[in-house]
Amino acid sequence: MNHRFSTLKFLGLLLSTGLVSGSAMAQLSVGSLIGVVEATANASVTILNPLSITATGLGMSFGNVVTSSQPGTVVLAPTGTRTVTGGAGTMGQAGTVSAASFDVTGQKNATYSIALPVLATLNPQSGETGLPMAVTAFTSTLTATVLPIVWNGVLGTAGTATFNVGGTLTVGLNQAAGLYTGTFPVLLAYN
Amino acid sequence: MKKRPLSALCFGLMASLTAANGVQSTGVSASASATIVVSTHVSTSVSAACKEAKSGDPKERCPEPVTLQVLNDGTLIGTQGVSLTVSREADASNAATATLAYD
Repeated sequence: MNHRFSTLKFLGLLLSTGLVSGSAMAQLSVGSLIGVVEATANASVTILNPLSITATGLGMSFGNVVTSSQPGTVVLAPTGTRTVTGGAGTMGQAGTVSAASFDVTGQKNATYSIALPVLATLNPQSGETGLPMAVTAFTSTLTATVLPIVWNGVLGTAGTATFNVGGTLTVGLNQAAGLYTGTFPVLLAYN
Repeated sequence: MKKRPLSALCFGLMASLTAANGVQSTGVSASASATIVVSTHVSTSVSAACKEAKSGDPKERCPEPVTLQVLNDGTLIGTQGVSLTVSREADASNAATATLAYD
């Protein structure tokens, strides 16, 4: 390549990128830049599909729970099975028992993390007098990390994944009858 | 200073980390629910029904399980609309004790 032509290109590049001002450039002699060499480098970027998450299914449902004069808990596993402790009981009419289920879409084969809350509250229906109940110890079908609220997952080759979430419901002694409902957030991010 | 719930702090931490790293994040809210059914441990007499039985065998004097619907009208304390089954046993004097339990 012609050295003078290359030098002019370089000068143009310096000007266009603002690395050298026009006045400074005017003080440079073209001859003094002879001997400058150039090289090319690769540049690339990968655009990831945006993450999205959708709550599917029936939500986290602990089903019918029988109370007593003793407090108890209902442990809902992310697989959808439940166990009771203390004064909480179950009955043949189990009602709707299900773990919360979520669909995730994003970049294929990418890893992601979810953050689950430490506490959610189930409140009685409007007009009912029952005390709120706490849901704690959230668990997931994903892999737990060091932080107890953070769980890791991998998007499949299609860029999709699903996971379930369970938790532990604390039932008060002589908890008033009725339907209790609430919501809980799930935060999702690429690793 | 007003205390923030631990969950809020944890979410704030993760949100801060992802924001600091320029990591795209998103979230969703899911529903959670439970239905509480009041426990009923009731003993009552169904001796009249047992007296009508003809067999001398205490088990046969009260042979049929009875399913009740608790109406929550003050007669029984329970959860409205939930079915119960009463199991009965009678002694030699035809006095019977029934134990109610949710199905």
